[in-house]
Amino acid sequence: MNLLDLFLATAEQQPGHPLIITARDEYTYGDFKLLVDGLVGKLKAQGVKPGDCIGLHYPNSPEYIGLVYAIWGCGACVTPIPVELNPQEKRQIFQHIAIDALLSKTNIIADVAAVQTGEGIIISEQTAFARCIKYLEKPAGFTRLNPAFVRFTSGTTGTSKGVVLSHETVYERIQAANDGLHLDSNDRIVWLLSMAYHFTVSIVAYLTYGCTILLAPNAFGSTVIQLAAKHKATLTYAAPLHYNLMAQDQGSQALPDLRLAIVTTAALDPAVAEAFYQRFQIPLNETYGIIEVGLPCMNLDKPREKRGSVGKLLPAYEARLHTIDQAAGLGEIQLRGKGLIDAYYEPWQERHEILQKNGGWFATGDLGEIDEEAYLHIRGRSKEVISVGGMKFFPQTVEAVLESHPAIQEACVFRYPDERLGEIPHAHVVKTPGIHELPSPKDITAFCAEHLAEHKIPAQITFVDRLLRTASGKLIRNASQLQAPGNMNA
Amino acid sequence: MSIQDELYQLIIKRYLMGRIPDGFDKNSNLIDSGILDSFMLVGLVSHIEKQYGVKFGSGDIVTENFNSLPALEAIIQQKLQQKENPDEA
Repeated sequence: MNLLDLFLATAEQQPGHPLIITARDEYTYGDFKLLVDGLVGKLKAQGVKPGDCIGLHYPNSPEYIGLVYAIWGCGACVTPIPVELNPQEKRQIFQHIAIDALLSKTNIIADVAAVQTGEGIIISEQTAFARCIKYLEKPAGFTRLNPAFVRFTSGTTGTSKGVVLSHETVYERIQAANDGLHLDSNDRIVWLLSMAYHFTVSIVAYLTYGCTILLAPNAFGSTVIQLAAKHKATLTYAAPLHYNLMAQDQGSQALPDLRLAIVTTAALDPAVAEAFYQRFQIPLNETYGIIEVGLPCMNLDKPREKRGSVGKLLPAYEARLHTIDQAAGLGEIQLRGKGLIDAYYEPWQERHEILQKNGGWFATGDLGEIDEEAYLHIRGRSKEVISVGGMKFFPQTVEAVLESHPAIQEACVFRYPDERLGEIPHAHVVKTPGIHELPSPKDITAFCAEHLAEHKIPAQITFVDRLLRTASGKLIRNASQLQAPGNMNA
Repeated sequence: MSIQDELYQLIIKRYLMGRIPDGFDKNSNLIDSGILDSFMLVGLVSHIEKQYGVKFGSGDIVTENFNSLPALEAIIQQKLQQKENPDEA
């Protein structure tokens, strides 16, 4: 199967229906079909063929969506290159994923010049195509999976990098999610997140079920409220930051058509949920999304009564808790059901190998509790991802940069709660022996800025005598443990 | 370097990849021009707080404070003054 065919079937049914509305322009399903058809022809003319992997370096826009579908139309798969990353971080993606060619917005292509072989070729008004340096070969078995996406994830050393999702898997995920969301052509969805990180159980679902995407030009509360009111938005899909900024709005514009306000990317502060409810009389719907699984849980029916819960499992999924603390009813959340990960890219590991370790269940690493009414509550995320205003990254990426500073021997980066951005990174660092003059936090920040995107640079950097570790030597990244008195002295 | 100069350089280098759009200068409206999108907002808040040692409240992250470099400098200066004279805040 090909996800493009699902979109084409919808476009056939409703060619005049708006697909995406931006501050600049509006595309109907019919317009968009023409856009994609044209791009498929141009990509094929450049030699894009089935089995290729194409890096997509483009900001949120109708063109981004059009290019994804055009790449699929050539039988190739997409690796997003998030535009907000630092050039070094972008190059790292090419070093770990075998990418055949690159599509970039022309005005930002200089950022990926280091991986290009030859000049970029302009294929549309603002889009360039370029062949890339191949740092590695694709894993055997890659093409057989019918991949739609390879999403780079920079985990710990020794853990897997890159998640492969096939067309079939994405389709299973959107069908499973729509058992709860009930998306259809009456839905108008305000979009605020990065398409490079969020596309499968969202944009693909919207285009499959005939919805209209309202692309917000920025995240300020007043902008989002005006956009939602003007176009009678029925759904928002956003991070806690966005709802917080909307809740702070001093105006009185109501959003009477909004039926779901989906929260993703990070845990929701109850104070933000309450402020949003007080401002709009609309509860926020918390969810549990995992790249390896999809969107198995959404709190759709009791968002206010069960605030803090990510809801019940959707019908396509089953969960079990692998007991960790029986008295507290806590356990590791393990899931099975539709649309589970097809493979980890590096080292290559296919679904059956990933799942067989736990008897067919995917071990999320997150701690949870299921209450008497079957609502899931997340009690601890053992994955160490930090989400700053909805932009996620692994702390190890930042630690590697800190540890490359000559004055730093080792570093521990951890998430710290932040009322505006949800979470921010903090760092504890140990000085290199023999260094007498410590660099200032500003010096270290400037050093990080050469290697990292701005949101990944620690907001606070503290020199400590040693890093806290578990008995088995694993770094402790729990902010409250780390910042307890006695652990802060350098 | 003034606050406006520093932020101008940051925007050009980190968010516009060194390319200055036609007509863009230190007085340009960052929002109407479409330069300040959702992702740049997070990066800009993160940068300003580290660079100037100030902290924005949720209520400070509004278009009036972020629509131009002079507006940003004004809110940063206001935060710096509040930091120096907390009783006047």
